[in-house]
Amino acid sequence: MAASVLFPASARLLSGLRHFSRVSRAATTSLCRPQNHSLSTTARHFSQPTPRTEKAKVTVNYVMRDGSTVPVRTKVGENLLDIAIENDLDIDGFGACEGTLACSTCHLIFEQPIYDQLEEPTDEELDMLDLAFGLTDTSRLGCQVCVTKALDGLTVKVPEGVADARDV
Amino acid sequence: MMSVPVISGSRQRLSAVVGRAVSPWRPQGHIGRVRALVGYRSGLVGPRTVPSPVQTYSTAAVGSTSHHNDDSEAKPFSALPGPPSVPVLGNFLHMWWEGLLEKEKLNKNHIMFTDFFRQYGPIFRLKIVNVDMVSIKDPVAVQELFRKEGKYPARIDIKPWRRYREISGKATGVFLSNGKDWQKNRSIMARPMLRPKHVSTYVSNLDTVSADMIKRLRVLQARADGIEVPNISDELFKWALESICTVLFNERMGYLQDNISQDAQDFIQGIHTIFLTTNTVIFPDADVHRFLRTKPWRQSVEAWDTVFRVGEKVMVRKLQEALEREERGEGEDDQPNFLAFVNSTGRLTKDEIYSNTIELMGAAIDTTSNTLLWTLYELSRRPELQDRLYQEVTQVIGQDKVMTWDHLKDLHLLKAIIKETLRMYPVVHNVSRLLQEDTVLMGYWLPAKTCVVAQVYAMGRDPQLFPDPDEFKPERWLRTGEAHDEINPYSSLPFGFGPRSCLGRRVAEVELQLLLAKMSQQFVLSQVEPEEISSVAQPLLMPETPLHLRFVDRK
Repeated sequence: MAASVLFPASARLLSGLRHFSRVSRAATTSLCRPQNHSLSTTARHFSQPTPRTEKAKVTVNYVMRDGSTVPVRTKVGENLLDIAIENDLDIDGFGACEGTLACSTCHLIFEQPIYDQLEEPTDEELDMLDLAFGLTDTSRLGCQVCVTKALDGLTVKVPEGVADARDV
Repeated sequence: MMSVPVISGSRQRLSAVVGRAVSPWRPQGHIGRVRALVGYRSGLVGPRTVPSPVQTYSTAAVGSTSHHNDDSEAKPFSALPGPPSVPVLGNFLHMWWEGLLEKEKLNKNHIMFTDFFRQYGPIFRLKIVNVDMVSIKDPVAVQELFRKEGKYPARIDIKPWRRYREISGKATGVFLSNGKDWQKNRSIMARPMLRPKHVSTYVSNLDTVSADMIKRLRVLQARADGIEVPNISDELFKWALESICTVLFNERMGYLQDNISQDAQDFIQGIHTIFLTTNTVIFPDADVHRFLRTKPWRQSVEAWDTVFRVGEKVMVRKLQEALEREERGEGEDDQPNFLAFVNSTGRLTKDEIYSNTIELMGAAIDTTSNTLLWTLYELSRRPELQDRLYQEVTQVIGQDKVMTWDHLKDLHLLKAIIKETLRMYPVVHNVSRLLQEDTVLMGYWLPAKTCVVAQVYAMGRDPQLFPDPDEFKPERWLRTGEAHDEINPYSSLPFGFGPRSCLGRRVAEVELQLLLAKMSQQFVLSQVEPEEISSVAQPLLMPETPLHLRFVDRK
């Protein structure tokens, strides 16, 4: 609506853009997929759509704070924060900064063998991770870890005690 | 590259310090690295104790923070230490009597807060009429503060800036809005500004900006005495504006030259004026200045008018161009466009887009350029460090002249240098949050809505948190070194932390990394006359006197 006030003539075009952007947001907000350079529309750059071709699916097991395990089927390439959000996992305060690497609330704990398989964290992730509550040797931020075929069946633990005022 | 054993090793060492094993699956009653460090730092365990008068109450304070659930022992709000106070006016009379509200003193308020900590301990209250805040410098308390910031974190109210928006009918963007409005703005703006994958797409454009900046430095140098670059800070303002506009509009503005447009000059000057008048118009109250139409108030309003006039003019043009391109079916040459993206979400009104973008432009100039200025100042005094930086940059980039996102990942010393600069010269020298609920902090009961300020400058210069705090030692930030493990990560948060932390952080870091890397490849820096330069907080931390730098070719 904002843009149509600005440029009435372009309302149709923009509503198309908006629709596209909504669809792609709903589909995924992952940053992990390889860039598709044949797409050049702005909105596409910021939320890469999943190509129609069927993507391989893997299982991720989230060990929740109450000790229960929630298995989730997901597409390869998604990050562990988005997977939790898209599957409506009820984790208080999880992903407060919406995957912008500005907080450490999507902190997850990995099993050692899995942790060793992951791509090394960047300095920026390590800096945020340092600020996480209950940090362990095998901690990572969910928003920075994307699932691959090799990780099928991995188990990640949601640390206790992340609960804070953001839960309200 | 950071290797996993190093991280594990460092954490194991830490756990050894507190005598607990850190097991991946049993986080041991939430004892993480931070708590471990507290024990070490405060002299409870560990080999090093820093003799300091501050230590006694700091240790006590840490103890009371960790027992924050026991409210019965908490001292009341009224018991908070602080300068002598009277009802309503608070510390105003005392501050005024002591001359602490004079311009020279206010411009050194980062030093004043450091002195107050020395006088009143690691937590104290300062109330000047209705500017009322509790200052802290204990990293554990800072951690607690961020945990209590709530779903919609709010900062100290910069009333004069907010008033301008109200009286001029401008929308409040992400910087000044609160609650759900803030969340909407933040959610849209944070994606293109902070997500690493998005920021990585700006690197190629920003690399050309930094390359052009190097050319510009050479031109200026040749025109002067062949060595010094005169008015370096003015040139860095233009560089910072060119950089942020390149990110926001995906287009070069042409500010890296002698005669930039009057509009661009007015914008830069406007932002300076807004900052420079803020210390004055905030005390005792913005409305007093507004009612009396004081000179600083009028200057501030005039500057905001200019900033909005120029900013809106640029954006009307850029939005129009973006739409025309879309209509012609042209893409963006595989380059993302911040403005078109924000527009395409359809969730912001035209005025909201303007305000948000103007805030980003305004917040990007003095902050980034002053941080670079401080870095250059410290580097110019350390030829040996410059050599090491040169070696790192050469090793990582090799003979490639174009720098990429992947290059930046491996510039660990360069990042440590920027961190160390921000520890010693945090351009925003305090970070505030309003408590969302009643909280016991360092043994004091603070009601909800209390404004608590982490005094970032005072913390960075605290010998208990950083040994040799006045020494520029970037090594302390290298993860391969042991010194890094001893730093409580909450001791230096120049960008803040969490969903309300600095929105421009990642872009600013990339800008600084690119230009510093290029500078280090090309020049050896030194001061024209070796001299100490002190800082002023107006309210941004900047050099008190101009920096005169020699740029000698590295060959």
